[in-house]
Amino acid sequence: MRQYGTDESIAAAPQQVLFDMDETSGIATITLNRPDKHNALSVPMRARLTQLMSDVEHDERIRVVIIRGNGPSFCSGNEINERWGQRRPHERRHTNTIGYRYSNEMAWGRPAFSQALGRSSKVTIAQVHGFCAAAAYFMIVTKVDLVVASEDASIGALEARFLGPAGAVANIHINRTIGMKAARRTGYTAVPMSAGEAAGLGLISRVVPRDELESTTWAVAGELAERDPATLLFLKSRLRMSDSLLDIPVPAITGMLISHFLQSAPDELDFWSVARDEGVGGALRADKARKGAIDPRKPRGSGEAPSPPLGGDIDD
Amino acid sequence: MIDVVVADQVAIVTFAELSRLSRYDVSFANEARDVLFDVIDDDEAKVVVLRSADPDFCAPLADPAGALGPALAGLRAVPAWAETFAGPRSLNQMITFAKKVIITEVQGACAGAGVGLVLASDLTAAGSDATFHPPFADHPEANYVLAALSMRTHRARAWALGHTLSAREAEGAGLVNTVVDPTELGECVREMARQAAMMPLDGITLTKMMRQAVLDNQGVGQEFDAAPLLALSHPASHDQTGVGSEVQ
Repeated sequence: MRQYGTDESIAAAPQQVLFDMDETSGIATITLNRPDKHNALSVPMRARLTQLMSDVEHDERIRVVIIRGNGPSFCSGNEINERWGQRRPHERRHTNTIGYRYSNEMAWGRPAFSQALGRSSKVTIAQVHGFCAAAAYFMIVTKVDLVVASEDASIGALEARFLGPAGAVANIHINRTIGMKAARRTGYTAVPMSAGEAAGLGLISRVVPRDELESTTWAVAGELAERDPATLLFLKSRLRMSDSLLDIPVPAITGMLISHFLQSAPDELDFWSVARDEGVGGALRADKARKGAIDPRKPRGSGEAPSPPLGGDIDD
Repeated sequence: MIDVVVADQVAIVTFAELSRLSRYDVSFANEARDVLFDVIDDDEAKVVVLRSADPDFCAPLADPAGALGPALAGLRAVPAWAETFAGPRSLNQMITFAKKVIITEVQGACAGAGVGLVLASDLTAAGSDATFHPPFADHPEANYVLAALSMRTHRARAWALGHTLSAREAEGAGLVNTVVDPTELGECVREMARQAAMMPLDGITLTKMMRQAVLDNQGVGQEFDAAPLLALSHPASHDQTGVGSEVQ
């Protein structure tokens, strides 16, 4: 299949999405490894992740898949400064070359990233720390079976600030996981959830101190991997069937349609101009200067910024 | 084995031996998927025609039930089978949820997995010599909800329960849009594709996006998702070594 991305981003993807498997335990690990960008996902990274999940289906040795991130954050969502990615408002027309390809991959197309995690026959666990924003929220953590997070996690629809709330609000996974009121809150205000709030809403299964995150996630994974593989397989099939009856895996078509027609106001276009040159973090800094603008990186109820700034696109 | 020609905004995809899909040939299924993925994504193509180079669109197997058993080969083979033949990356789902108009051109026998392609496609033209075999006995990935939505419901049921449809019967049942003399089939399909290619692309694609939401609401996706469980309950999977003893 054709690969999308620059030569550079395609070549980098295998090192930016790492795969490992422990044959003894039957646990595989997918590690996002782009720490300088808080693991923002490029198109080739999403393609690699999709392929890895497909490969996993064919490997009987694997029973549980952990998805995690290196660096200060789990994942900050999709890379926005990318030709084959999200249509930027300054682009005049949603064409097949840009907009439909992105939408096909993210929300609409069955073969694509949006379906890869939620439809796996393996048990999937997200190990979350730092920022878990945008697509990491509505495409990853709401679609895996279980989430283990550290106390510093900040989870939410950061992209709603500049793309609108469709990804969060028009997403069945999110609505069914945390309830419609909470889903709307995350989308209509863009204020993220702290780990505690997310656990209270049912999105996160376990919250632990940062230095216990990895060991706790492996303990949870290990417990599941020890179960009879045939039974686990039957139960995952059973759950997927039930998810289907509830329409949970349905791609977020509504969100994509809204995004297609998105027209930014002149002052909102300023966000994109800054983001192109200074990344999302720079654009959010400029956005904060606007009267009344809320910083979507600070979770409600946490009192503090989620992690010490280390650089990268979404830090202070 | 798969030929693609793109001209005048129409992509013509010609398969040889589509019955390999009925035999659960993984290599062929993956090749077909990759080709179709690229064709559907091709900015030069607004319409995609699927056809066969052979006298039959998809010839019936001598022992269709015999193909499923080896493909499942024990309980743990089901995820791999589902991923290739029933899951979101399978040919059926790729066609069902494609953003371009997909036309199937059917001559001769259309059996097994070939029926899935007809069900999944948007438009179908058939030669008067075509016959449409019911797929559900030996193909858990065949989507009955699609059949019920495409066809007149009682006739879909009769077909699903084992009756092979002639081309005229298929037209009467709603499975086929038009039936022509076999010698006129190619020209008929090209004209159908030409008409579809004149439609505004944005409108077509957005309509297909909304149609996907409708299909999902009607349960098409749920039926696809049920395929692994249907495979587990299919008689062909019960006699495999270790299956019965593993599911306690």
